[in-house]
Amino acid sequence: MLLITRILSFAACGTVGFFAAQAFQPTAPGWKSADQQLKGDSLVPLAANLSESQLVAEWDRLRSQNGGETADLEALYKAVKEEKDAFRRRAFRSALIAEWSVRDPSAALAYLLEKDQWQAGQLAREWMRLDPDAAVTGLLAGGNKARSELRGLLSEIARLAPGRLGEVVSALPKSESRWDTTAQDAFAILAQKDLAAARSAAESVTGAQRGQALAGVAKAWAETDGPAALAWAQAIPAGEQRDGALKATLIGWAKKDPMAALDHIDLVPPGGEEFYHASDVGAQVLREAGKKDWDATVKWLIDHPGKLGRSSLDGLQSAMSHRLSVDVGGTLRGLSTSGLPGLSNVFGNAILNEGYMQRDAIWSWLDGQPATPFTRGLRGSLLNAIAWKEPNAALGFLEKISDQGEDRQLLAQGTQSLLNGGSQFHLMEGLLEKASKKMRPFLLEAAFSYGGMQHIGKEPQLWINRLSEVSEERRPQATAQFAQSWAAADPQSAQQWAMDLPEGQTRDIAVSGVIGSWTTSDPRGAASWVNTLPAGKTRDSAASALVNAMVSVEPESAWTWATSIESSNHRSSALQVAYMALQRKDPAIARDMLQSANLTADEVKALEAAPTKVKAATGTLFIRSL
Amino acid sequence: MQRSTLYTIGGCVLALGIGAAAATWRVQDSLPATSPTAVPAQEELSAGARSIDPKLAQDLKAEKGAKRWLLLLSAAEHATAKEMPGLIRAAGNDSAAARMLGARWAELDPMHMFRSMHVEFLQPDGSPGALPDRHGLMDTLFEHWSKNDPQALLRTLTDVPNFSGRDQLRMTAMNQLMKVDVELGMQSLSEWGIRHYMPDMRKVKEWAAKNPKRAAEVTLKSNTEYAGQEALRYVGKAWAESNPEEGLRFAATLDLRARSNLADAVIRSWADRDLKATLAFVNTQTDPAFRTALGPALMETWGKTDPEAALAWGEENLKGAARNTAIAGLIKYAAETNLERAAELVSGLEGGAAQRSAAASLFETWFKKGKDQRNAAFEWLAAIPDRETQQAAFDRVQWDWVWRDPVGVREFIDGPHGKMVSESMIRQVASNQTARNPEDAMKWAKGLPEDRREGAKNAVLSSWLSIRPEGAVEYARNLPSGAERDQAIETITGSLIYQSPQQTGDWYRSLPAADQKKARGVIDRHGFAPSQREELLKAIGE
Repeated sequence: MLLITRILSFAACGTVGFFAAQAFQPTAPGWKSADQQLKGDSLVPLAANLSESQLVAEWDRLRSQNGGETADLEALYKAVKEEKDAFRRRAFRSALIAEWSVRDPSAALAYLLEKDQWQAGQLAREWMRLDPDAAVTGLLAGGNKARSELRGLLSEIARLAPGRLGEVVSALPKSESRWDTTAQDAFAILAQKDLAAARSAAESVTGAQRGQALAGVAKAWAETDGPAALAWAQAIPAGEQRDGALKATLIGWAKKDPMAALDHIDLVPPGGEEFYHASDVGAQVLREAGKKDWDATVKWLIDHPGKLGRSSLDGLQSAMSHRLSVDVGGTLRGLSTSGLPGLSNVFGNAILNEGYMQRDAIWSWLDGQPATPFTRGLRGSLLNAIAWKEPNAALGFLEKISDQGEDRQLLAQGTQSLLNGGSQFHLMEGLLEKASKKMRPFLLEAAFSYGGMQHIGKEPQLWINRLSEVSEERRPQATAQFAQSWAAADPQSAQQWAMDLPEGQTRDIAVSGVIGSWTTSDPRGAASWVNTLPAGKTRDSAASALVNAMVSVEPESAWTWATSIESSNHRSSALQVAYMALQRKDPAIARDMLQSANLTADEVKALEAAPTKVKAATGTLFIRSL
Repeated sequence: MQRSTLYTIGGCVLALGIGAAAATWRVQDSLPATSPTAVPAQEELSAGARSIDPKLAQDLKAEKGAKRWLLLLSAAEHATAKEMPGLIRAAGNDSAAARMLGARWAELDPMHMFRSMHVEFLQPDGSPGALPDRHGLMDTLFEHWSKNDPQALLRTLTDVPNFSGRDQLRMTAMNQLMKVDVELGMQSLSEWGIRHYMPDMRKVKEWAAKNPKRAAEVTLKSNTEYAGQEALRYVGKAWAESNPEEGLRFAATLDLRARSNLADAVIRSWADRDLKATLAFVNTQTDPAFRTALGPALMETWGKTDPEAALAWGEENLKGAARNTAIAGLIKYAAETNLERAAELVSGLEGGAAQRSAAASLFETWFKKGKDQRNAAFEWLAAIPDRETQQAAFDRVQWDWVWRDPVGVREFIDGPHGKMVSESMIRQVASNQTARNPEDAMKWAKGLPEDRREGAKNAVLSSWLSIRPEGAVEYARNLPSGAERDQAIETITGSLIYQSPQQTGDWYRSLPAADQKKARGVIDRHGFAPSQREELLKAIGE
């Protein structure tokens, strides 16, 4: 055989081997949607074969054990519930509920509502599938429990029994959940299918859900024809329902033409919900607008300064998070050049939520930028988010920040975020263990500031030792906070410690802290102690603190204490505070006390010239029994 | 046969083998590893899956009653994991069917199901071709996986890269883990860094009872927030049953918060069961800080049966803020059983912070007894001629009340006892109303009694600025000269200077000279950094 023939034979065999083997390997066909899968491919399609199914045979056996064709469905239900295998239990239960819905849906509903209410919704759905009208009628007539199932079926009713939707929604009480929009959603579904029918049905609704019905129609309509929906909503009599419909119109319109919706934002009051973040119409329109066209939305906001405020801008949060997930650098560059005040706050909220996934990418981007107030602001927001979500990781990030120059403030704020206003104080010891020499003073300053009253005074010796680690600049404040905290837990020990300090400003600060706290829990005890102090600066500091602490409860006593202060700076402010409190309580008493206090003419003049505008009246506590 | 022919045949066989080996290597090389750390391709997940028979698809849409479910059951019986997504889609938007098929899918190949669902979660909810009830499917998967291979579930969710919704899925998984293996559940909390979430705790009691010390150690090691603190309470209760003294000795070694939680739970349960022994234990503690920590729980529990004796013990053994807090707690519990007796105790307290706080506790308990009790509670509080006590009492119920019944709160403020509520409550109500309708809110504020009016109007204006600045500014401009206008100018300026120099400048220049002076005063009073101050002054043209 010629060499060339032999080589060609080898090549042919190798090729055949390759393709033959490949045919037996798993292939990687393209991802198919449901429709594509339904169209089939070269394999035998997946089908059902009831007669050859072991599971169907098991089901038949179970039924026959419980009465066969005339099965006792309640007994069968109990038997199915005992099934351990989750798949079988779910499958058999669903088959049984479906069969029951055919045979006697009312009885099935009554049984499930009493024994297993969680499954009543499935029965109602099966019933809707079989006979929507009968299901609605049956549920409406089935008492309050049955009627409550209708709320979860409103979307199905909109699709399968649209003619009953108005009747059903009118029969429903106001939802206990403030976030429930099932009625609105159902009317939106109906309006998408048959606007005229939806309008007519919504206008026929009576009761607590009428507003939702109108809003659902308005929203769906505005998604296709904003001006027409707006005209319809405006024709609704003025009131909450009209406002709700207008709000829904603008939100729906924003999906199609966000700028047009924004241009009409003044037509409706904000409509924000109590304690519901970004719930006002401005926020909700911005949510849709930002999603559809970010740049145009930002431009609109710049072109209309003051039209929407910070709380509305929070509606951009999800769009901001999405943009961060797609392009961190581009999004942040856009932020820096947008010129739109308030977008940095949106960034801060975004990274506390979905945007947090981009933590490292944002940090890296910031590392590549020159330090400016803008980049410091972003880094501060990022540190705040890390401190909340991952305090231990935050310490590592904080270590990267310089403690010099303008970064020092950023470092201090980031460290304070770790304590979240004191609610994360319990993390302090763990953080201190891991902290570098650079970070430790920052952590301690934050601890004295934000862990003050509640925590540090309960472990006094530990925190006395740590006072010396706080920077000199911050130590007086830390001392006062520590003294207050300790005095709250153990006033006698705290005052003893304060008095043992060397005479001077630190001692005065500590004494003031002790008195401020002690007076709150035991004013008489605190006053008795101040009485024992010898005249001098420390005594005046203590008396001044006593005046401030007791002035709102006992202004007369506060006044007396104020007149006992010798040093002029403490005396004048204490007199003023006490005199204002007296005036609040009773101007006549204030006048009498001023005249009888043996003050200098200058002091009287100064007090009479002091502002008299006051906030609240006070009194002496007196509790009557019932 | 010639030798050369034999060589050729041999060579051909060898070439066939080499070709086959090459094909195998190529395909294996192209298949990703079944690890959750890489986002799988849809192609890989559905490779080799059969399509759904059109007749089955049609029958699933048309059939009703049990037959439809039996068809699904039969198809699911013969389906592979890769075919389950197609079957779920064919079943339509039916969450019961999705969960049933999900249970089968999880049985067949939980990792395949997880990887498929991971891909689903990377698409927006409701995308074309998306599986119905994705959260229900995940819940079904986690339920199966946690029972059959909890370690694999933990590992998978630890290794999977971050994606939108991962944290929520981890919480779902953690709930399932906590049902089958509390220790692993606590470990997952720690590994996943979930700190502010309360998972399903129903199995914790049983777990803690088996070995409270071990349970406490595991909980403390998990270093979790809400769940850890709640678990410690269960541990405390369990320890109180088996060996309370050991539990309290253990608590004494912990940091403040953990000590307080654990010791509180032990003391409450122990004192409920055996007050005498609990009291004896507390009285023998020589560390005053530890005894103080035990006091409040002891007094509250004791107060249910003999509040006078509990109060006397507190007066003698506690001091400072701890004493006041303990007394307030005692009154709160005592009021639950006997309001009159609790009120007498409050009357007998020495005036001051303790009495104020105790009165607030009594009111809180009374208020929470129900709407039909509230008028009596208000009348009682109104009879106390001390504004601070009244306001402290309302502070206890303010947030919850405003959240649950905003209209009721507003009516109360407008009613005869409205003067009792604090400034902060007025501000909160004003602010909430402004978010809904600023003009209406301002009308409401103007109708309040004189001593409340200014504060409320300011709160409305501040909130108005945060939601519709233009409207707020217009309102201020239309005010006549006087104190209210001055205040409004200051409020608006104070808000704008933090937002934008440009807007501050526009606002400033639009004002008449007298108002500009007020606005300038605000700028001068704020302690800005020099560069910010310079920018602001430039913006206002100075």
